[in-house]
Amino acid sequence: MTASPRARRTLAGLALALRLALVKLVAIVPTLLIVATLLFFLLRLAPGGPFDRERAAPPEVMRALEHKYHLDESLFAQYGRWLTDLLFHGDLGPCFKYPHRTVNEIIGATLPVSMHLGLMALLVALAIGIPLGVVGAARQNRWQDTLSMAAALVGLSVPRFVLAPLLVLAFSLGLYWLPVARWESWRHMILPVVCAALPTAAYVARLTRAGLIEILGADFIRTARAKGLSERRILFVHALRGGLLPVVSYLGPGFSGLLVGSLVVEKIFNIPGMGRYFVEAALSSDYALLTGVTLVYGALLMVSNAAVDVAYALLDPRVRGT
Amino acid sequence: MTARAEVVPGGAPGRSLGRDAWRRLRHNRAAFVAGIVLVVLLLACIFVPMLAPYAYDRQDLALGATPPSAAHWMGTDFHGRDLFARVFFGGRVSFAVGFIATGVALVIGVTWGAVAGYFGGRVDAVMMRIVDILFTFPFLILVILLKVFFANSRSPLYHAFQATLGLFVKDAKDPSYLPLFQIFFVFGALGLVSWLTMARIVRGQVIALREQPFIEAARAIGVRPLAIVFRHLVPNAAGPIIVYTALTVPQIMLTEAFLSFLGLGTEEPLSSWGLLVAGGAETMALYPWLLVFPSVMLAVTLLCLNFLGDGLRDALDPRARKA
Amino acid sequence: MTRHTTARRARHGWAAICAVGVLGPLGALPACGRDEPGYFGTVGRGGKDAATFYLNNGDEPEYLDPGLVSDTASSALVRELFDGLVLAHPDDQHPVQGVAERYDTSDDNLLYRFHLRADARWTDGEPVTAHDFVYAWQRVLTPATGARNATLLYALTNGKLFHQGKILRLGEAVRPRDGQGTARAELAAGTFVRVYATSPAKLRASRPLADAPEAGASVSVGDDKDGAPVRVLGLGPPLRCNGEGDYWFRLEAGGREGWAPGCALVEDAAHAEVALVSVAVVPTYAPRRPVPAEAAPVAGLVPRAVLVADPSAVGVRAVDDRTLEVELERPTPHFLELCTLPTLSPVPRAVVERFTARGESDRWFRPESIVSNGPYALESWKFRYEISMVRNPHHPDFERLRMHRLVFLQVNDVQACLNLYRTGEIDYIGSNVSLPSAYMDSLAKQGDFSRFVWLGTYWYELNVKAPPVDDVRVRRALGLALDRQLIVDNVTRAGQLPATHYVPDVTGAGYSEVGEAERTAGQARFASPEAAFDPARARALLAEAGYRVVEADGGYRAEGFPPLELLYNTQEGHQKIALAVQDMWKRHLGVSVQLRNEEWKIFLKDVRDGHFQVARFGWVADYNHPQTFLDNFLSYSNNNWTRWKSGAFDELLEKAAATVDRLDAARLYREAEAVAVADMPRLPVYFYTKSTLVKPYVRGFYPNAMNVHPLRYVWLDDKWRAGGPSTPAFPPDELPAPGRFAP
Repeated sequence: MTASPRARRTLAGLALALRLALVKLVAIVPTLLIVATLLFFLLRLAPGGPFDRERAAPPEVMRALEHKYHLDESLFAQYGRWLTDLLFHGDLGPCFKYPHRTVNEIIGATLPVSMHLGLMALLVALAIGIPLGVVGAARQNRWQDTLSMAAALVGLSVPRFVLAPLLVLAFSLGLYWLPVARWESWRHMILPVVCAALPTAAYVARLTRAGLIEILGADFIRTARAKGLSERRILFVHALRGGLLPVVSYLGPGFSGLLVGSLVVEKIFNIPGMGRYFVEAALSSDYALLTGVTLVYGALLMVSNAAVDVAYALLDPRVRGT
Repeated sequence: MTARAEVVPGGAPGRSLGRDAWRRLRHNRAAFVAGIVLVVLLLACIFVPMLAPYAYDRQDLALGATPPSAAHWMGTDFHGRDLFARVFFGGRVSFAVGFIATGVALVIGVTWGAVAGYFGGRVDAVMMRIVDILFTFPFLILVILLKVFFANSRSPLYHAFQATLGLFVKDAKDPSYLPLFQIFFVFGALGLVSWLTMARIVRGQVIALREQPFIEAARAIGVRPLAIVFRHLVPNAAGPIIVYTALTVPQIMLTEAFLSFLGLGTEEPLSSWGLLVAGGAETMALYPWLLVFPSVMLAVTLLCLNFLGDGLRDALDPRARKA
Repeated sequence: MTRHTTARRARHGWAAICAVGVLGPLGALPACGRDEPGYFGTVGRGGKDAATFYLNNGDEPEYLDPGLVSDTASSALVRELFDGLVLAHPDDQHPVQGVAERYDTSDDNLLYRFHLRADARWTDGEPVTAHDFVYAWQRVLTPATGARNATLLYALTNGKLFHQGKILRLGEAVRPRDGQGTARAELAAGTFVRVYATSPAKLRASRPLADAPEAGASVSVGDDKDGAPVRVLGLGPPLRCNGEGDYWFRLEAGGREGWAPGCALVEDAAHAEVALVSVAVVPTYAPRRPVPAEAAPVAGLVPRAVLVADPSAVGVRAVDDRTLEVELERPTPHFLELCTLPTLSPVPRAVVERFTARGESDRWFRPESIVSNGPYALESWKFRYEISMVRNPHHPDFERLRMHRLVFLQVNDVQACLNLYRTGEIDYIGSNVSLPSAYMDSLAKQGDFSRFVWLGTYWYELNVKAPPVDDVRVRRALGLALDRQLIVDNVTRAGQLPATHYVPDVTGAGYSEVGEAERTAGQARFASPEAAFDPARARALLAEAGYRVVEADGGYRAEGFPPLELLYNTQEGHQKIALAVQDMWKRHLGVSVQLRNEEWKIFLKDVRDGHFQVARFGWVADYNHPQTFLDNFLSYSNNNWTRWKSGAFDELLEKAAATVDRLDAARLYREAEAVAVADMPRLPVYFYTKSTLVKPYVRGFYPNAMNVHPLRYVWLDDKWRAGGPSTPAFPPDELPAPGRFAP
């Protein structure tokens, strides 16, 4: 097995990156436990209980409901029960608002939808954002740059809740091209995905442009230019790899941000995703559900951050060196 | 590592940086124009509501929603309130939200990051772990919880607010100050959730700077650690801090709009651009003017803030000189 | 500006402005595409199955368990899945055959005997029997079930006592002891006893220990949380508590002795040692039941451990598989109507018990295990997305149903719902969706729009313990300064009727007839000028209350009037009304009003804790009867947040509820209502209407005051353009006149 120095360097970098990721992954569990514990106690201190409704139920009923969900026990007994269920059975508890479902079932049913939407939106955002950014950087200060960056800034300045109804009005109600809502065929997915993706695409475009401009000013690019390599080759072979680093480091928070940000899109397009529970569960004192979605969100965020770290370490020569 | 891009040498410290930056900023027309537009908008938001013929909350139910006319330049809303007055009054609230929340984020973030970065070691580890934990909280839940706990008339914070207000006005117990408190609260809550990135950036800067000779020198002559942090380290990290601050303001204004859409932001009868845009989006097919005017104001402001932020970045980033 | 390259970036801004400028007016585009002129959106169904009905059900249901249903989203679904004894006619809601094909009743309206149809079947093919109803009703009244609507079954003999755990059976023979420990005559095993108090117990926090009992007192006690533990020392004189016979008790709490009414004591189930009991009256199902003595003599103290719950104390029994007998506590003219409600529908005993034994009592009604007896059976349930039902092959109406499949979407965003309706994805926006008021004017012009009176009243709760609204003159002044017509015309815009009292004029059970008679006799209550919008009189009243209203800079100012706080829960509709009310009180009375808007949970807590002056509330009828609107004014109602207590009102309402003749009863109800209106603990704003959208080809759909639309009668008419009356898919089976209840 003869390994070239370059391959060996890559392997060493990979090992380092994996170690880094492992450390991060191991740190996830205690971090999540702290988050969940904080949330558990904070939520129960908030005024109002999960069974309060407009019409007061007879006290006998309230007592029965509280007893059924062990809310009549002491806080610490509840915490112990919740923690045991979580750690030993992976059970996030019952949902108060929808007693026919457990939190596990709800997350199991809604997370895939949100992931689907989020991943597609992320791909679309990258597919739009990176080329826009590359155009901006390659044609810096020319009309192509102005146009692409103007588009990006507009994308950043129009909230999704304005964008979504506008798109629906134009493409569904006006032109009758696409369905107005719901999550069925690929045609149903176009508007929500575009709507979720556009602001992210705008951000990606700006990041790409900034990153590329920085790299294009670097010494090794000058050297490459001096060697007479074509601009295109310099841009796509040499610069892009380093220039995309800011985008890569944004992917982690960006993806989990899309999950929460999809809340608006899910609401407007009636998509059965997880985003809505961040608000709903908090407002209806659905303790276990809120803790559950927060844990899932936190875990996703941290795992995607760890994954990004690995990718980063593989791409960035400076990290590899240290 | 997310702060990598910002970990740059502070450049030559002292006057020359500031003067240099100002010169470059002035020559960046886009940023300069954006700055002027912002100042004009800001002044308009401060003074127009004082001069406008209608109060922002004056209703004319019988009139209802009417398109722009000579009497109401931007039309009226469902309650017959003058949109012109509401837009400019809303601008006050939006700007205040943007600036105050950013201020909160700035103070907490800079202090936190600088202290963690300077002391390093276990202090740094603990402080940054706290930041990590807060990062995993979806900020929405934090805002909702804070609102649920504290943005009501029974919260201890409201009593503290009344007490503080009592130093300035006699009728601090008047419930009409409650919305003021609630707005302050939205600022505070938004600031509380936006300081994390700032803390990371400042920490990165401080770590890069703390081994520099001038800091070593200060340490050697016995300057107290906190003095070193705030007199020497933070000013030298000013560039990235200013840039990030300028870019945080539009972020916060957008977040305020998002919260208003969810019914968690500014509350009627007050107005803010976010609230107006969110309301306008719901009835865009019927009363488009209710969406168009506030959206344009919000979008122009956000664009200007972004231009200014970009301009500041170019001006304060020494590497930009190469370009 | 365009000469220098550096200046080009400034154009970003212009591009953005242009973009917004172009996109903005897009919103003004008139409805185009396939929209049908004169209707909201398309009238085509896009090739969808002609025997499938699509509608929106709003929110995800909480339960599909009839006994536990309390939200509207669940109740609309349960009405398709389960059939009660009788059903409501789709048009005017009069009772028609359900599982019962006929019934007998006694002269005093206290006894009912239902004869069940032979062909009623569960989805598993088993017959629906009287035992299923007995089980379902007893289950609702079992406290551990946690049924919110259990109060609907308080009409049954001992229903309330059983639900409160105050009627129990002796598990073995015991000799009760008196306070000194002397044994009394033995009570046989199986005897039902009325439990007055257990000891130790807990005293409700709102009720401090009194120094001496007040003989013959009439008290009311709220349902607040239990507080200090107390030990029962002895029994004192009788009293009436929350409208029922009770006793004073001598208690010991924290070393202090004192007195409290029995209804203020909460059983401490884990610790109770003894119970003070008397022999209870149990249902006999015999006509002309003798009126029971006010309170049976107290038998004495028995050990708590020998008492067991036994639902047969409640007035419902199965004589045989097809005969159900019911004994009511008091004549309840609307009892048949109660039988149409989901809460009184049968449940499949075997399935429910199997799941309850597993500790999964809320999971039996999922598609894989549910057994139901309605016209439709649950087919699939996609959480928060879609629920579908197919015809129940065992249902008697199987052949007659013209809709073979129902698809309920769960869209709680009203814009999305309107868009789906407009593009023809759904045929009906559903009974749980409220159209936004901004769209009301333009929608009302469409041919598929319908609007009908809906039994409900929007009102503001006034905390009569909180100054300045503790003064009735202030409360009346606030009412007089409300321009309700302006609110319904310009804010809510759905043709609501301005309300100056609490029970909607069209309410049944004789209420509307008595109101009409009053009007023709020229003695209409609640319509006097006293109640109309009259700002001058309002100012005079305010002055009378000590707040002079003076003219100040073009408006008014009420001198010395403290700022008023108006509380509402975060929702656009409430906010719009609150904003208008704020403006009216400011304009006409010079009262400064602060709006306080809170999230639902906090709002409820603040209202229940009395932490408000004026709070948004309202009431929608459970059944078409004045009782449902007025019983929450009772001083002991757990839905009376105003703290208003009136002995005269309580007495009139109790008397009305016990009156057999419906017109006499209605007169008493109106009299009671007048007492409340005079004191104005709630400010009525308007009576509800329901505005909705149903595609023009939908037949068998009727507007009605309860906003209940059974889908079994719906069909789709492809020749709808030809017009013609909307008939139900098949005529409901009318109930024959009731027979005489003979033992």
